[in-house]
Amino acid sequence: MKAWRHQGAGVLVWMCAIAVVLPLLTALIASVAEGWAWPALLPSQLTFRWWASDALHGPVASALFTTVTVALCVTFVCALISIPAARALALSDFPGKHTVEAMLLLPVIVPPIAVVTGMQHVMIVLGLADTFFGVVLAHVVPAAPYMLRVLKTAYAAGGGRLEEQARNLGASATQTFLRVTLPVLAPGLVVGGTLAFLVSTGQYLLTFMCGGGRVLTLPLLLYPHAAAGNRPIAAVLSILLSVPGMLFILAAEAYLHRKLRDREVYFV
Amino acid sequence: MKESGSHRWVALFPVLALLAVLFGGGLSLGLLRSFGFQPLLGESELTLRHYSAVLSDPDFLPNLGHTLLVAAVSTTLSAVLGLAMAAGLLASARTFGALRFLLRVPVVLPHLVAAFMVADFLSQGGILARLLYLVGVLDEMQDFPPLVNDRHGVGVILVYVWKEAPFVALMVLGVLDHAGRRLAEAARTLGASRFQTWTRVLLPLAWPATATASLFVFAYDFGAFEVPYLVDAAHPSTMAVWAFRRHVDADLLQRPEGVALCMIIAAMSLALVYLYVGKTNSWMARRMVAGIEPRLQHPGEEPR
Repeated sequence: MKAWRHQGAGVLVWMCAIAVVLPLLTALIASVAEGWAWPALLPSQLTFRWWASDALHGPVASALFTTVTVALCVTFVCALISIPAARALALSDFPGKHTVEAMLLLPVIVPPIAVVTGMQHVMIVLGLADTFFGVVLAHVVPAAPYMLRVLKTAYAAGGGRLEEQARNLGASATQTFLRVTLPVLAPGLVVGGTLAFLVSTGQYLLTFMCGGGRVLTLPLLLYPHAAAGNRPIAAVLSILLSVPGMLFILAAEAYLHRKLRDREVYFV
Repeated sequence: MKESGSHRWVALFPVLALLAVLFGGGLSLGLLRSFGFQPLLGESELTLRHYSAVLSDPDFLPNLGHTLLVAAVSTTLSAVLGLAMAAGLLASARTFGALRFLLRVPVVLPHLVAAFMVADFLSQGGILARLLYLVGVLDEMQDFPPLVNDRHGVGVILVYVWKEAPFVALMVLGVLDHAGRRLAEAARTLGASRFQTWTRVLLPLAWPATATASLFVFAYDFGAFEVPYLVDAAHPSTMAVWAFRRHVDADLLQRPEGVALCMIIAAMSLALVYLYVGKTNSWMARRMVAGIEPRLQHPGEEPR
């Protein structure tokens, strides 16, 4: 019955898995390695001084805090502006809809470098340059299209009908939103929120240009250490930068598994 | 539910306004500046000289070629490896739940983190070189080729492939998992050979997802900044890094040329997507849009 499958495929899969794991493992070890000279495969000693010295004090701690707060604000703003828009796009047809949808996809297709110089100018005009909120809005630009598409799918899958029923049965607009819309959209909000969070934590260029060095996030700290080949510190910063996104995903997965049991959910 | 026309535009207003001001405004201001419109410097005459300066720069063609080559090679490798990985996962007798989770890790890591980790792994004193030394392939550190910061962008390509082959694999698995298993078993029951099952059933099913994923990967790699900024050689550089260096140059006269480069990058990525979507027939275009939609539907349910 399963003859279209093949045992040999396992070899390929394992090789790919090893290729994925080794760089991750190297960074983990490098963050606690003492005296890891050529050609040793493992360090002679373990140490936590990279984590204790530079890493968890001063600028790094506040950069980690800034990174996470910016990403949470980006997620929130994306949800706020995408919920009504997703509803309009999912539940109604109107002239110009396709144009609007195509325009809303542009920030995913046109790379940040192409707009960031002009965007910085706009920020200066609006008085948002070099501010926390300016960086948040800059990150919303590439993140919002993802949130919008996920929420549109969630709405199309049944949100509209249920809202209508609730209103017909006498629920107020607020009740309908809190008791019907939000629960229906919750899985979509979790998936879209995860994408927005990840897009935000990974930004270097937009933060650099729109934050002007005043809004210091972890990618801005990581770059000079990585470029200078400062391996242990760059490894520590890489791990710190990856952890919030990973935690966000694990929490989202746990929630979605509970909520959707037999359904498959993909983040990509 | 019936909605009145004005309601719709009110609902769309916040997201449209934000993107129009920051993205549209950014693009328009960039366009104006690239044509020499600099009201703050008292220049309001439109000119094409920044474009001609950039286009006639001796670095332009080498840098464009380098960018296209890096994007094309990394996209091809990612697509082939990703497809193979998905096929391997689907065809292996056991279900690799943990491995699937593992494949997500490179996809979700920030590009800068991936660039550091892979570059460190591939460097001359890195773990790969040490492994090769221990098995006797290398006699000393210098025998390992300098892959990172090399002229041909090998380091950049490998970072992209490390991150994007799993992305392609997950996109393809999303499709094959839903319909592929059942159809493959049906094909086998009806007498198809193992080879036919792959060429006639599974690969045609995987093709639209692979094409969509490849388009995204190519468009991203073409305009991406972070990875080449960290691991590419100084010469030649990718268009994005070149534009950035021009724009942050201490010489203010270089800036409009940097902006002109940014506009060229924007136009090229738009043209790329337009060509791709236009060239493929409407069936493919519809499949592509369906492929972009995140899969929140119940398995078996048609994507809306």
